[in-house]
Order: sequence, then C-alpha cells, then structure tokens
Amino acid sequence: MTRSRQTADWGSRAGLAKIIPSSVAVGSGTGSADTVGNVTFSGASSVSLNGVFTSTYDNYEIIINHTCSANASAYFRLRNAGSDYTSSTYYAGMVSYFTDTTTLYGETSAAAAQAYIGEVSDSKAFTKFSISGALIAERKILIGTTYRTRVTGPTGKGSTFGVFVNSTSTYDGFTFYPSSGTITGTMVVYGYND
Amino acid sequence: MPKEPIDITPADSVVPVYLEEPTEEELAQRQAEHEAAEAAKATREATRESALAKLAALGLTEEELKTLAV
Repeated sequence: MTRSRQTADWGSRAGLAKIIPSSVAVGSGTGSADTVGNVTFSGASSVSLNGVFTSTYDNYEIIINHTCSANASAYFRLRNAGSDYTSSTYYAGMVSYFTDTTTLYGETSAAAAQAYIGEVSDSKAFTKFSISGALIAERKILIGTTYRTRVTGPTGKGSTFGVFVNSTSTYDGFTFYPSSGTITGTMVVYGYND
Repeated sequence: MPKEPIDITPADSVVPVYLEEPTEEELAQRQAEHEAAEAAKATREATRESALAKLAALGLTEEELKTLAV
C-alpha cells in the first residue's frame, strides 16, 4: 500500500529566512555584515545587531560562533532603536553538563539587567537560541543551547537555557556580550516563516 | 552618559557599523557580574567537593549515589 504524502506548497516562504541587520554596533574591535546577513566581529567587548526583529516574523533563530579572550559568562540583552534594555526584568534558568563529570548543574538568574545564557571561553564555543515575541506586546521568551570548549579543564560544558523577559515593550535588536574580555566570531539571525 | 557612537564601517560591510564603547558604569557592572558569577562557580565546586568527601566517608562513590538516585 502506498501512502500519499501531503505537503504544502510554501514556495519561497518555507523554512528560515536569513536577515540582514540595519546596522551593527561593537563595544570595541571591529564588525561587518555581508550581503547575505553574515555578521563577523573581532576583539569585541559586545556585539549588537539593530533592526533584525521586524513585523515580518514572530519568531527568530540566532546562531553565534565565538571565541573569547577570557573565560567568562555570556549575556544577552534586548535592544531598541540603538539602546540596550537594561531594566532588571530578565529571568534565566539553565541546566549544564560537563565533559569531566556526569553531575548536572542547575543555574538561575532572576530580576537581572541582562540574561545569563552560558559561557564564553578561550576556545571554540557555539550558541544557538530562538526568541519569541520580540516585536509583539507580550513577554519575550528565549530557549536555547550553548556549548563551549576550553583550553584547560573542565574542557567542555554544554547548557540548555530558558529566559523570559518581563517586558511587553517591543525590541528590534539585541546585544550579546561577555562579562569579561573580548569576543571574535560570527553571528547570523533567521526569521521563521509561518 | 553614553558615549557618542563612532562610525567604523569597514569597506566590506553592507550595513553601517558603529563603535559604542561602554560607559564606566557599564564596565563596573560587568566586572561585578563577572566576579559574582566566578564566586558562585567556586561555591558550587566547593559544595560538590564537600559532598563527595562525605560520600567517600560513607564508603559510597559518586557513581553509586547516582545509581541510587535513578
């Protein structure tokens, strides 16, 4: 028996659409965005993308490859019209695992002026998260995962995190930054086609 | 007072790139966050080491404890 498979003809609206920011800001170092939305940065104490959240999409995927000059925490902030949102309404929770132990760690951060979303390190790290409702008058939610390697132990740490931002304002961008040191890497934002 | 952004757009960028240096206040806040996070990690690790030492005193290993916890 052959089962027919139904697929919708989404055409060019299928899947994820890469987004070119309207501008990029770095706290130090350099930054650049190419014609297909790949953002590169080097020696940056922070990287901000402006104009990536628009009325075209409700949900977004953000992918960051990074290496830092220090081993430190990684933070996220929403941003609008070129300014970070720094009110103490970021709530984050995280479960982390390590390469050198089977122990799981739970970490939380409440009523902070930024969202704690894992770590940056002196070797390769990868951070990926989705955000819902950035440009909608409702609470913002991030769900994501990150993995960082490190030159010396514990050499690997993976984390799964969730964040909500208790704000119903709208935001067109975000900032990613380490608590210490400067980061080098690439960043890209996708919009989810409905 | 935030510093005025400086246009540092390189030739290969299709959008403007600005240098927005953090304020002294922002830098101090990041340093405080960093120190607090590092202190929390150290506390967690010390607690874990203490717990493992107690397990060892009871004759249990970490793996045996996990077996019991499942």
